[in-house]
Amino acid sequence: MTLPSHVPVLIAGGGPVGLTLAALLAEYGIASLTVEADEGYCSGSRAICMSRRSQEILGWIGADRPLIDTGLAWTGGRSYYRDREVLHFQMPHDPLQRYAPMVNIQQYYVEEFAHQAMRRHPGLATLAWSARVTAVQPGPDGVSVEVEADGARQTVRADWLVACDGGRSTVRDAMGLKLEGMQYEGRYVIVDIEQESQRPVERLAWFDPPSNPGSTLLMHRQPGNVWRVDYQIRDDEDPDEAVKPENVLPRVQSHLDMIGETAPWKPLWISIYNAKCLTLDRYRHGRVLFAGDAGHLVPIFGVRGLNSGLDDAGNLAWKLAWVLKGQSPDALLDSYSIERVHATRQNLAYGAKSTEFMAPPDFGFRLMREAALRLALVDDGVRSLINPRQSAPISYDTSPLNREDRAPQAGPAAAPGQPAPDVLLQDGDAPQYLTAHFGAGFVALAISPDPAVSAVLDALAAATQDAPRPLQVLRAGPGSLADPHGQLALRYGNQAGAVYLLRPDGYVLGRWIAPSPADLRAALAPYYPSLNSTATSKGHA
Amino acid sequence: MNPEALDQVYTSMAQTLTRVGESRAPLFLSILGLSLLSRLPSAEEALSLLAQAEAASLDDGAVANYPASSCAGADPARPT
Repeated sequence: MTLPSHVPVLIAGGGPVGLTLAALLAEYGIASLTVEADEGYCSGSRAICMSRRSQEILGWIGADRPLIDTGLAWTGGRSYYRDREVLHFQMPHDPLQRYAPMVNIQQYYVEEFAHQAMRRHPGLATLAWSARVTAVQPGPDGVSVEVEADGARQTVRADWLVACDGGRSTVRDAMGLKLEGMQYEGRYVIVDIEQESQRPVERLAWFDPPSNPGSTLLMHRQPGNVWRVDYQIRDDEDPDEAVKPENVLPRVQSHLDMIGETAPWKPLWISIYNAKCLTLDRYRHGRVLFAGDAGHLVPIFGVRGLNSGLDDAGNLAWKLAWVLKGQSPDALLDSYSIERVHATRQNLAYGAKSTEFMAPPDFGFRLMREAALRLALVDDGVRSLINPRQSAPISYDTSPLNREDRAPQAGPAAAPGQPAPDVLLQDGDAPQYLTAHFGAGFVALAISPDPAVSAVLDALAAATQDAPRPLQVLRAGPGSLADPHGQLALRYGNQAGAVYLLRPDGYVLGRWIAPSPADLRAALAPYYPSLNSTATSKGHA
Repeated sequence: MNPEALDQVYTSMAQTLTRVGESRAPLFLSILGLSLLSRLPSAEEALSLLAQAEAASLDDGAVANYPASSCAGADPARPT
């Protein structure tokens, strides 16, 4: 295909992060071209655990429904030492929740659903398969990118280049940037097999199982009667030998025998993995931005890889849209780097802890793990050490975007910089989730506002009506949204007059009790320039 | 101690053990154990913990005689 000579956003890499970003940008009316070196969706299941937060982000492009319809939801898991259960954990969940804490699904489905979302915006989100970036020439106002497609080289001029091209990012290499950090020695073989099973969908982990003494083994169900089996190999095993079917299949068979899964099975995909804790120190380099594995590699344990990549896309999409639509200066994109590098550092800290348990790197961690597992059989007090620290949204408590917390008495759950906790509200007869309002403009959530504050919010919303994504105002209290389950009171406090401003990506920007018009205007003006021009006329509303 | 604090202590103890090294680990653990036991309010509690730790260390349960050789392709040797 002939590529355009100029695009507002060029996305290098059509994996799940790149395709989701393209669809999110299209939702905001931003045109992009995504170039993907492969000729189709990924092969192999790859990242299979989609967190609640990832489901929420995919909801912004309408990809949550097919994900949930196809995927397998789960809420907890079991860990065994040898053949005895030492932990049965549950992630926070309740019957009123919008999304399950985790859904298992093959990565190629996520790519397909994100691509379908792109195709709902023809002309805005274009995808070129079999097209690879070969050179990058960054400039002050844009980036010249050389793309090889169909054997021909073309130059595409992009206002912004987003590298979503994975752990071996071409863009990163072309920019002379390197991931920094450390990697662990312990290697895991990853095997998908097809086998019918009646087992519930749970995360299953065995330490030193009789089937594979000395190893650690994980199992997850996937749609289509597929088991993911991960197991650790010994440090002295040759990784090339370890992935040969003649070395893989007997270990899998031995374990299936042990747990009594006797249906016929066949292998689908075999890969190998070792834990890495690597990141760039900045995800913005002028007009080039990095998202997903191109910017950071986190250990597989705790499923923070793709989930953090989708969080990158969710953070970046609205900021890029605001800058490209002229609503905010490009310095807003510095906050993308600050917030997401901070998130990576948290993810790396959790990931390192998980890895130290799942693939103990040295004598001390090996001994302590055995001690914890043996003690956990008889002492509940240490069982929490075995818990796999599954991915959770990271608080941006150091973000420069946060407004000063003017309602600390409302509790820590929804403080500035926190991911806004979901709440099931009631609009007349219709249940309404708070998070369903994210992925568009800013949201003002007002709890029983008095008439003066209510009028100010209406005036602010009216003054943003001509913005690409206006301010939405949600009111809770008598005569407006009801809190029938008490979740709003629990998570946001129940003080009348509280106002929360929530970002398009569902993070709390600021909160106040009975804010002055000037407070709210100052908080929103960086994102709605029309509020500056109306300051004098509406300032006393 | 909450789970987060316990997690931190676990990590610190593993790192300390690695620094002390395998050959001196029994000595280190004995010193640590003795100092912890001396902080308990009664000998009964100390003896009960000793008994629990002894049982957990020696317990190889039903898998002690598991025929590891039936696991084709895997060396039954424990990691060192």
